[in-house]
Amino acid sequence: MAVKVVYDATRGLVQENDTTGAGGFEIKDAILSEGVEGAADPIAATDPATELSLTLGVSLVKTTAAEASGIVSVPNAEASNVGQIKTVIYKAENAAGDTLTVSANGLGAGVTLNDVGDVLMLMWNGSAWNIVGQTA
Amino acid sequence: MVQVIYTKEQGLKQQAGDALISLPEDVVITRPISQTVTGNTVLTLDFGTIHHDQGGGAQADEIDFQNKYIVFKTPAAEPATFYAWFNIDAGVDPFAGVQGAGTGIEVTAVNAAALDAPAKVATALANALSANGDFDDELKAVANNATVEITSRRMGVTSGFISDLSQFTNVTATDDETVLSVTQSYDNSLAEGSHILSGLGVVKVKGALIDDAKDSFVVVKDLPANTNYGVRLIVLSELPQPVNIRTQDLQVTLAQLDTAGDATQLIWNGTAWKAIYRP
Repeated sequence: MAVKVVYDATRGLVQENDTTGAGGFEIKDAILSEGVEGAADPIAATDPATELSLTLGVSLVKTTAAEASGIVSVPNAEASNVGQIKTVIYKAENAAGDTLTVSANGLGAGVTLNDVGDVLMLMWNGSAWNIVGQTA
Repeated sequence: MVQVIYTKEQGLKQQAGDALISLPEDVVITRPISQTVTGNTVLTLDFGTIHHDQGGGAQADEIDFQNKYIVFKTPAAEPATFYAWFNIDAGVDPFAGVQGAGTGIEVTAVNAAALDAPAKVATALANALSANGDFDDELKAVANNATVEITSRRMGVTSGFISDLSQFTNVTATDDETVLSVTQSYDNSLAEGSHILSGLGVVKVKGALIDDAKDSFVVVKDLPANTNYGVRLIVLSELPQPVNIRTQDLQVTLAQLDTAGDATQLIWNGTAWKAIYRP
């Protein structure tokens, strides 16, 4: 017997007995959202790089008049937090043609986002960030 | 700070510590399939034995097609109206200058003989409908002997797309006696769900019927602007035929799923869905 946690829109968060013993954490018919930094005012990309939050899963970033090719960096996560996801969204630009570079351990020279709306998703493997996906 | 720990033995427990939610190594966060979209609805227009008046006298299966029309409405959230009208040599658009009549699609026949058989009528109609790009974007028309089969490219819809067939319903033949009707029948037995993906977790699309340059499609519903940043949606597909995943405004094809096992992961950036992975 295990305890299974289920969220659904009707009942909310419910803990149920699971006779299979598998347990689990299940989310039904609801959006799973994470903490966001930069929602009210996107984080300004600078050079040297602006460091993004590790405790907030999503960062909204912008370029500024002072830095048309701004950089943001994602710090190392805890070694034990394998699988941690970090999402960077290029939210706003100061001028057409600006670019945003995301630097992090594991990304080499960094990943450049060229257009507002572009998204980069990273996953921590215990010692470096891997690219899960990015928009074109 | 408050941290939440889940264990199979005790379930959720809150305790003081660094801010986090922790799961044991043999437990994952699962999302059931929140929505399944299946199949396409197919309309069959059957002309039976009906064809255009050949001018040879009273006939039980001939009617005058000149300027007659059929009105279609696409099964979109904001339907578009099209009317196909028959022009057999110097016809007149029945809705010329009429506001709100929709888009006219002319079914042109150079003379009466061009429509002297129901199969010719069906072919002429299907070809005219297919040649209109906007119509074909939503509805695929194919002639099959005396019938025109029209398939909704939007998967899952079960509503009809004929708005007005009255011009071909209960029409007296040239023998002034026989009453004829073009029949319409829908097969939506394979269609289920909604062509609009809700954006919740994991959805599945399956059973698509169309395989051509445009294929079938579903649309992903926009989330409210400037909210839900980073929310992800996974779309799984089962064949037999390809499916395009498109934005709600139809302007962007986010992914084309055309191989067994294809999936795409979309992410909401606050104003639009983006494909973070596509096959």
